[in-house]
Amino acid sequence: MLRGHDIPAVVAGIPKEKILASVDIMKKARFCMIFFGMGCTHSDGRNHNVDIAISLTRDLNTHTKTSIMAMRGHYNIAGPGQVWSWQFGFPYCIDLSKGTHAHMNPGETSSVDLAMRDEVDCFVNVGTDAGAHFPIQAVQHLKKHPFITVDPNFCMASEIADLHIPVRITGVDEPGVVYRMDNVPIQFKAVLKGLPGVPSDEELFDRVYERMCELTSSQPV
Amino acid sequence: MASGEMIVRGGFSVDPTRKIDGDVGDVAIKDGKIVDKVSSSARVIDAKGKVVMAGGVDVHSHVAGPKVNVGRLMRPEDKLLSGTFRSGMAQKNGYRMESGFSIPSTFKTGYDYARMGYGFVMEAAMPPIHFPHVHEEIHDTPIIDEAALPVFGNNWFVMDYLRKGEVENTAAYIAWLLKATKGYGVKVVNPGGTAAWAWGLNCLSLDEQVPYFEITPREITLGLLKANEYLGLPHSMHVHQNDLGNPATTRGPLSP
Repeated sequence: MLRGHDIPAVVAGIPKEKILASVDIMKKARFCMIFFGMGCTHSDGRNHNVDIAISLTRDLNTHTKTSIMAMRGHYNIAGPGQVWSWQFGFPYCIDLSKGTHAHMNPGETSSVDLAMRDEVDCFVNVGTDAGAHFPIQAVQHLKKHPFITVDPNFCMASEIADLHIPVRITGVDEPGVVYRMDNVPIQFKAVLKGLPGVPSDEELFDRVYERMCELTSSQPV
Repeated sequence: MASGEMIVRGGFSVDPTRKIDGDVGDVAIKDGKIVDKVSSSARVIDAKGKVVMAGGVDVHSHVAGPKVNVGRLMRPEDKLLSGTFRSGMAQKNGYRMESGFSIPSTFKTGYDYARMGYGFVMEAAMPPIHFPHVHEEIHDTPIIDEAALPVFGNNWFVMDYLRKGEVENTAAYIAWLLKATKGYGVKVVNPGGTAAWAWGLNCLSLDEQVPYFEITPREITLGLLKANEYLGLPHSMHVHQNDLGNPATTRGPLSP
């Protein structure tokens, strides 16, 4: 429609008039921002839906300023994406098992993919809630093996976990850098003193790593 | 290993400050400083056939920060063959995984620069709002020293001050921003033009007005130069002129 072509009376159950009206709104906007979420990425068409949204963004830019961005979910999900990008070159779905190089293949190496095919021996759920957000089948497979949750709060994952380790809350009782959805880094100070005996994520993982080095007789880096 | 003592044996020494140009000899180091001699328990580095010189300085490179990361994300195939050379020795000694070729991971950046003999690299463009990200990448870059230059040439505050000819205010703003972002100097890239990109426009010449800001790239560049001199900053302003990305033309950027 943006390019002046005509469309059928009904497209994907939406009447032509409604589509025309929405194109009109977008063209008249001074700044149009498209957020795409799992409605696009996890319905039929998957990444092709996003491909079309990107083409729409490009076409809209001939009329007005338009941009597009992923509507991410959990707090600071952008953060690990940035950290892994600079450390490994990939934002997620990273397979480090080869040892020589990192490998990324969504569809094969994401946590949901691995869980659905029961390729996991042990599952560690950090600051997220696989119990609530993974497909049921994935959780059923994972529950056949040790299931660990690292989280300040109770959640579905902690309810079903074999081990729940509480940690301090980043941004509340632990300082740190958090990446906003648009990838702007925000520095958080600790505003409360953490509970005694509750480690920060960093302390916890340092201790796990050192113990792992002891058990495998290797030197910590 | 002995107490901080090291001797670099038999290399070709190069030191322009003392007019040494390839003499074969030994360099003794103790606790990070070059000394006349060290004890026999010093660690020996065999530099036969190699050049021994001060660490190289790369004044302008793009190695840390959000746009470098965008580059890494845009090219998954860049990682395809990059890790196949990770030796058993590297794995055993805890060297970090090296990824990427044209846009290496931060670990590879540090290792590659060190292999080439560099000791310092300047990340040439740090967007102020993303400065913690730049410093986090610098933190994850091993061996080499690294600093970053914040960008000022499309900054809305700078353009507003300079439109009104307020060089002192511009200087105060630069001083504050350098301190807040732990930046090292003034960087200007496509002055005014990148601000125009936000509306799908550009400033291809020095005298093309920046939309909405009533200022030209020439005025931005000259104003920032004056502010840089006013502050007496140790570095000259670092400029990437307009018409970014297009091959050089015969018109000189600073011609009248």
